[in-house]
Amino acid sequence: MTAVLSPQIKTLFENTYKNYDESAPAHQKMEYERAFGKNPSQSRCMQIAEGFYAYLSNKNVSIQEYELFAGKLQHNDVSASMPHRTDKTFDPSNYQDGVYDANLELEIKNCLSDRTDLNQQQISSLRSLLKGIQCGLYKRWPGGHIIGGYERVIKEGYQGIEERIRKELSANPVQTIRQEYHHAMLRVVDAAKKYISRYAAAAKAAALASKNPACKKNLLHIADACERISVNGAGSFFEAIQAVILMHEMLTIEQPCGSISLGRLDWLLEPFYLADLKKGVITIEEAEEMIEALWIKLASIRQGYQNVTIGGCDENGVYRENVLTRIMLMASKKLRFDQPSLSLRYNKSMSSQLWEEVLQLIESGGGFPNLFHDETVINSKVLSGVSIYDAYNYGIVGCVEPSVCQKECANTEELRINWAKVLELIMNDGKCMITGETFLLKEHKSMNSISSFKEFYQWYKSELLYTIDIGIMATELLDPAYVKRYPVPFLSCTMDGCIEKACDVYGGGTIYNLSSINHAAMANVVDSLLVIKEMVFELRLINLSDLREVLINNFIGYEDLQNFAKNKCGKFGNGCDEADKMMAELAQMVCEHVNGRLNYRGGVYQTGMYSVHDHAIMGLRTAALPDGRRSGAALSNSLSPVQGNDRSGPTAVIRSVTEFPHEMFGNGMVLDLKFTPSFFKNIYHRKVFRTLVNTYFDLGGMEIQFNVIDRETLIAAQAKPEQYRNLLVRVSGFSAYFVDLYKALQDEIINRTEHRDVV
Amino acid sequence: MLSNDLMKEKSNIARVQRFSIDDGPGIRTTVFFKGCPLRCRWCHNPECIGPGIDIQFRKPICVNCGACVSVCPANAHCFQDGKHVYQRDNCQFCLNCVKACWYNALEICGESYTVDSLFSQLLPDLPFFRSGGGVTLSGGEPLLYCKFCSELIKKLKSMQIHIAIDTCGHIAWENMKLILEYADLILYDIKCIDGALHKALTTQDNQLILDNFNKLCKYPVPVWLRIPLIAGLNDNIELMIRTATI
Repeated sequence: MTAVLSPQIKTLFENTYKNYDESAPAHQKMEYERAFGKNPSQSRCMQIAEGFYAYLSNKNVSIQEYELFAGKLQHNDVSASMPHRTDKTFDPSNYQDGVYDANLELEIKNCLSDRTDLNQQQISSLRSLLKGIQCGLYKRWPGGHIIGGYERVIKEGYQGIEERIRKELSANPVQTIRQEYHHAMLRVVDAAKKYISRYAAAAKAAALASKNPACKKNLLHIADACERISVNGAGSFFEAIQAVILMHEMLTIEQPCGSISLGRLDWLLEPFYLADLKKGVITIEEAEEMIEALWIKLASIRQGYQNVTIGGCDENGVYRENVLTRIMLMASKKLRFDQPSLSLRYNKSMSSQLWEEVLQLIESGGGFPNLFHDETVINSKVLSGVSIYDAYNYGIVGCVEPSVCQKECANTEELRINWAKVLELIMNDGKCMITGETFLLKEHKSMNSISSFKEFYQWYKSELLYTIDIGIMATELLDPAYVKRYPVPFLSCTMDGCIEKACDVYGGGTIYNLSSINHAAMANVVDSLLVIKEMVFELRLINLSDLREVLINNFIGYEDLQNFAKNKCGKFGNGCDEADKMMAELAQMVCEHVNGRLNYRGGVYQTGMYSVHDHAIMGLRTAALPDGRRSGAALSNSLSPVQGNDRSGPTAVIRSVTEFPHEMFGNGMVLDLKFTPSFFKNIYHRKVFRTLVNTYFDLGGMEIQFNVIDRETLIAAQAKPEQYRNLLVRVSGFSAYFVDLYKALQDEIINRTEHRDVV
Repeated sequence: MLSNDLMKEKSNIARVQRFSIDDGPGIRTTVFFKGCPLRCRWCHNPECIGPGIDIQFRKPICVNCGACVSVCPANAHCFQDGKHVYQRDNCQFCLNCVKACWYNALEICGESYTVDSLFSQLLPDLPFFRSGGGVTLSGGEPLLYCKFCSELIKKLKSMQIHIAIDTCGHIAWENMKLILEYADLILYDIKCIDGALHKALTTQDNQLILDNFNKLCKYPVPVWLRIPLIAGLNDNIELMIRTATI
């Protein structure tokens, strides 16, 4: 396979971001509002369905002459937190933190107007959540975060879905809320059918207008495919991909939230590909181009967290290699977009040929694919209450959240808690050190009344759990407002369970209705607690209330203490027994506290140990920490050690992180390791790298991902070595940590020529 | 050549490095012993040359806070023109200064280990040694501590750990023989085939090294011959051809 793009793919590639239709958001809003106005007495789900129908009936449908597939995902640089497009206050340019529109004030307003029965504690939990998000204590990102029922659409078609709905309707002929929901579903299915037919017509028109015979042929192919899949399931590989694209487009129209993920595309599409190969109607090269064209479509929603899962076991839990896995790895390598996020379900018996493709993508430096250990993830899903056969069919949502394709809605970004902020708050009598905002503590203690580290540690643990409980109380109040105000009947009718229950995806309609509590800054807290233990209680270099002043002053004038904290105390990630055991204890504690707890949708809570980019955003709002971190600096990334604090190499990091079982993280976890690109130039290192991965998974690891870095990073490392202590470089006959080398050698390595692959 | 001093139960180790991937096959943990009979001009681990425990002063990190001066009983640390100066000759290696330096500008190089304490340091990465990895004894020159090494190796072999010895070869044959029946791999350096040039580059003649190499080749243990190529010093083709004929 060549790294060169075919002329048609090259054209598509160059036009990836040229599909922004400035009028689309306003048009959608207008159509929805008009539909709401026309039908003021209708149920909300019916109003939404009418808005969806009207917009899909009237929006622009165009196909460029050079297209391989119909469909146009509106180019977007940001994902919103809820379908605000249906709300008067929605303004796509008004988003916070670069990614999402965390309009919590509106959420709370909705909740308070829906619920007049709230008690004082509930109201104050809502206030804490709002303040907590502003101060970096909490983070929440409702909506999206699901693997849609692509399989149902591909296999049964919209006709099949319609029949499922009608069957339920005829079984319950009495006019009820149930029926209303089914009518809304019928309306959106009708909208989808007609929308796809509009694409068929547009493709035909474009074919007529085209003077290029090859383009004409393509366009007619699209027209045929759309005609078929507007009603039926897909009959070919091409039609299956076309159906995925158009369904995905409609899902992102229905809710512009992030992380609408595609699931196990290689397993979904393989039967179509093999059948086409057998019939002799497709070549490998054509299949590659189709996957590349699909990737380009997905790439237009930047930062969309649209995850595609590849690899893994079959429906009986038996590992076998899928012929499309390799093609999808290659597509990501050739195109190098941030979308789709590519996740690989790893199995130790993966052939060396396929592993080589995986490795080539890893060493190309984009961070794809991240690797999931099938066995650990499957066990974790079973512990979250998923049946073993459904667990075999997990895909990845958004970042790293394992979720059963077409059967699960886990609100994977329901709530995240910044452990470091909890430490800041308890040390400052509940007050944010940056804003002065006051938070509820379970128990107030005077700093100097604490007589032992044990007492301090117990107090921290108890306040951490209390903070989790406040957050859960608030989110349980807020979430029902979504179903009530922003139901998603189109997504829902593709998912198992929702038609039968006549219930929305976000209201408990799916088979597995989980809730997820995630955590951030774990390593900062472990390192900080060890510093407090040593500095305050063992060596008595300072007392707790003076340490609070040092932190409020951001270590300015106290650089000696900051350096003591950074250099003289145990750190997580070095195989240091005390740090590892403390992390294990805290992780187990939060898991035991929430895992298995019933949520309001009839499912259970699960735990995630990953931080998306929140470790940076929450870090901006977190004051200096006892571990020596300055105010505003990024917090530790997910379960990884504090940046630069892992000084004993990757095997020590892996040992530290596998000190506790990852099965308890049903919503996923992240371990990030950094390598230089030249590491992979040596054939022995490539072998060693796989041993490292295998051993991590043997020790019970769930997920691992790699950064492969180049020159710019090395220069930055030279300027700020303390942040790059774990950067491995190849010197000559040996590898060493870059920052341990003397400057002349560093310069020499920096100045070596970089060879880049040209796409 | 081998002093009785070095035969005793403890050894000085510069460092234990995990995820060593260029000192033999697979993922390895490498032990860098302190002390070396050679003085190669290009030595890439100069902190391993001296056999004793040492203190490294990293000047760029020092903030001249004076914490070391106040705890030093031997006047090894002082200020000259407002700058901290470390006078190694005065040092008694009590290590008070290392503990007092919160900036890590003063670091210990070398730690004294018994066979048992070193052995326990080598076990944590055991799971990573599968697929061909193991432990490499390097330095400095590990075989200066050949009795210590043979005891250590016996213990490691009881755990089925693969052992590589990285040696310069400038060691009495009887001592080298002690470890040969346990080692799985010898990484053997021939730094220069020409005796006179070898002496000029490393301060020692190469006769013992070449004799040992010939004896070593009769043993069933695999040997990786390694030649450090130093531009302008030993990298000429004639020397390489001569090396190839041994």
